[in-house]
Amino acid sequence: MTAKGVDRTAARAAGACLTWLLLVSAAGAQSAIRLRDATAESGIAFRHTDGSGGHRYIVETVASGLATLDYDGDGLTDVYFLNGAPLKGTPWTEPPPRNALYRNLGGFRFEDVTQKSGVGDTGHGLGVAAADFDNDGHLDLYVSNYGPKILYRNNGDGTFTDVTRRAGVADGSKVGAGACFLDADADGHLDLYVANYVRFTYDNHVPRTIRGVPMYHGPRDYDPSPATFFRNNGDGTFADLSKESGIASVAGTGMGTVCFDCDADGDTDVFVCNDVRANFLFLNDGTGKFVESGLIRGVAYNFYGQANGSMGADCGDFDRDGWLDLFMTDYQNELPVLYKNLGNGFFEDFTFRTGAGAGSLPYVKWGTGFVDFDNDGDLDLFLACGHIQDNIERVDDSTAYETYNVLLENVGGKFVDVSAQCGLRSLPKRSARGAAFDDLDNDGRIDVVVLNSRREPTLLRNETANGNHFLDVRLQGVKSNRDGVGAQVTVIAGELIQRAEVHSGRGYQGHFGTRLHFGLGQRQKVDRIEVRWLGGGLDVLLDAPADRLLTIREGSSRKERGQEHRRGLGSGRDL
Amino acid sequence: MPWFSEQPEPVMEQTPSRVGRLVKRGLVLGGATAIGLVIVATIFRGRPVPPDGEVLPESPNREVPAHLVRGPRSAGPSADTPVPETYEGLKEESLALGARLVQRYPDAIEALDLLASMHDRFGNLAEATRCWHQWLDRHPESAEAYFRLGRFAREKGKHEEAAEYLEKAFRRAPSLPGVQIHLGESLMTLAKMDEAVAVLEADVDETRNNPNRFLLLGHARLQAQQYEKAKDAFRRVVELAPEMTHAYFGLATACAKLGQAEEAKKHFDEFAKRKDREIAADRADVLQNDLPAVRQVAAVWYVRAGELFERAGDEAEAEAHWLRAGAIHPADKESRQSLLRLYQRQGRADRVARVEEELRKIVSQQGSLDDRKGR
Repeated sequence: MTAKGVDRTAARAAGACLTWLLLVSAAGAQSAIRLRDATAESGIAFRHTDGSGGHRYIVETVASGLATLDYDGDGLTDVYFLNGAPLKGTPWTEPPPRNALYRNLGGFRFEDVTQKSGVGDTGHGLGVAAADFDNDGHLDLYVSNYGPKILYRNNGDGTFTDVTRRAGVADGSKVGAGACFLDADADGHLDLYVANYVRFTYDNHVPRTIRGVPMYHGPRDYDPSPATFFRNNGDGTFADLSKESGIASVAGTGMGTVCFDCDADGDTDVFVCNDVRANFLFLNDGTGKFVESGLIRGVAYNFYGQANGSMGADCGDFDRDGWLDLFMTDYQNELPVLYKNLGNGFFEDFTFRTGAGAGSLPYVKWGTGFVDFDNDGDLDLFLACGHIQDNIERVDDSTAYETYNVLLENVGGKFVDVSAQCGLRSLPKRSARGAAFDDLDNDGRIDVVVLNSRREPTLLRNETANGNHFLDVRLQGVKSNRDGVGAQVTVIAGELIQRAEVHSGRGYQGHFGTRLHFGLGQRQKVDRIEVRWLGGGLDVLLDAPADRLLTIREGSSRKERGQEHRRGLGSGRDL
Repeated sequence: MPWFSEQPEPVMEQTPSRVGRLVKRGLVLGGATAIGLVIVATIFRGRPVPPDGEVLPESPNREVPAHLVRGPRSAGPSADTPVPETYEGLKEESLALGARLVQRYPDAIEALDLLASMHDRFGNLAEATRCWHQWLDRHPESAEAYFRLGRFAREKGKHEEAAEYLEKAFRRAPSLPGVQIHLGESLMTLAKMDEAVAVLEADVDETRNNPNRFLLLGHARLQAQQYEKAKDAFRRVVELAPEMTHAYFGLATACAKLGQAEEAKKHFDEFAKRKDREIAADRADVLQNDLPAVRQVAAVWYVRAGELFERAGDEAEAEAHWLRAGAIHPADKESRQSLLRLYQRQGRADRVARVEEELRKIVSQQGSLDDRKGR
């Protein structure tokens, strides 16, 4: 190319950049999404600790995730916060820090029911998943700790019982991370995948000084650790089949995990974020045997072939092509990665092409979710941000320990940073970790709960006022597991087709979204709903009005001999 | 470390541990500073004496023009001054060196580049940016300033701003090392794949055989769905630098896109094998304290400062700075090589012999260190 050619190219590039900027600015300015800080009025007094006492153990930096779930079945989504525990050398306090369950009273008011419910574990909580592991109709909780894990069985009366010992899922003294319930062999009983971070012990911790200041270690300073896979025996006990299942064939530095049917072969696969190592994608053969296939499937690295400091992950069909894509958060100076599902369980890094990394490069990114904040029928992205080094500003002014979170609005398949317009830039800076997304006030708009390290959490009430409609779907399995974990729901409203899957465990070592949410734009009804249950069952429902929660029971509307029955729309109710 | 990873193109850096990344970033920045200074010096050498405040034009001239020397001499630490034992002490001494250079040679871009790089290395990107903005105010056509500001903007995640600066730098000096690759990557980040391909395909002498350019070009072509051409680019990388792990990843991806499953698998296997080795090497390189690495970088700064003095004809200052470099980092070879040349030119046989002996010891110690590491 000649110098003139270069000039012309540069001029074209500049022109194209300008067009892009104008589009982006216009889209940003028009964003309807509004999130208001409602923490103070919520009644939530929880304050997180990472267990730190000056020793800078690596396990401090990764605390903690959180869960949103309706534990008491009253139709209101409650919040469960994990907490760190005083680590070796940190003064013990009375009462000790503990996890906290807040019951949703309605109207964005919450009540601390930790004591009453019995889920105030005082371990060093890192990850959590909620699911009805015993199919009794009540959501149970699995808490992934540094040290023994805890399985809380929901008694159905507002209380829980620690059944860890009987269930056999304590998993020793490992550094637990993200956890997911999945029905790996489609037997109707939810199995359990528990990622483990690194082989850390107090004995192999070595102090570190960088740029003259004490710093936390990174995961490469430690040996990686294989994950644990527990098969649900269906009688309240689990068997450790980590080796037999193929899960323990590889060791990683696991963090956030999400389980989904990536290749539409009818079984549930497992995606695992590994911190500065290749991510894992465990492909299920349908019987609970897995083969790690991340490299070949395109999710092990970013598109350069670099292993990012992967943190949290979520999956959703951002481009509405019927295939579930993956989004992954990561470390400072790394763009988060949007892995587009190419339609066959093979993925490609589409971050550049979609702008999915906008506004987040200088920050460490943690909690994340594909969420339709404005009910326009496409999935936006939320990224919870905050550095691991609490003194990072002393050595690097390009980032910060406490910073803003980022919201990227999906505008025609491209992501636009609307953090300022939606209100996130007006909030106090925090060092966020886990984030959960659910409709906490049942107004049809998805709200946000962010767990902030060493701080009170942030509750963001979605006050987007664009008149868009929605449909919420809650599944009730009969042959398959009770909450329909692993089932895929397709909602068709006119030309708008959306697909989602029920997950247990997602984001940054957390849990949210048991109730599926579909934004409908200005459409006031849904033409067709298809539920593909794990195990092959299909329910088809027609003509559902918008703006309600629809509970669909497995088998309530069968498709027989090509006939679609409109028998019962489940138990629908207006919200 | 292979030669190409010392280029100032972060896209090709391997991903180390979190703190390691900070350290490596420092080393890379230090290396980049050193390389940048060589680059800038090369450009600077090529410039005739400009009127005060005018843009520095290009012409070969190894000396710092006398009129650029404005500030007074001010004494820095000598070789005998105790070397700071703390990071803060080294930082203070380094920044004082940068400030002295800028004061003495306010219109010498090397001095400014050195100071700005120090600020950047010490985590003060704002101050580094300010340095270059000030330079730009006085030299509005400075490609180097646009280049540095583009790089800093990229680091801050300001992709549009980065592309704008880098485009200006590229338009002014397409051969400025790093600018083509940084602009290409910035355009890719903005999803301007065709523009990125065009920039990376531009025939620039300095990058004709740069594997990093071809690696990025391969990825830009992949993103632009030009798979056959992408494969060609990755093949070129392997020809130029067969040790470059990421080339195999690109090659495998291109083959997979072309439906060449067997070849894709072969390259994926090669990539995975190399990646495993890199992880093991990274683990071995973990630092508990980066003070030695900072010393190494500080020594490089003193070496560059000495070169600046040498070009200005101030051999005494050049010698003092090279001696200081050796004092700060006793295993530094470059300062000894500079001293050797100086003493040979000055005919100081005793000094020549002494420095030769020091160099022999350094080479021998580094050799045994490499042996211990099995390299």
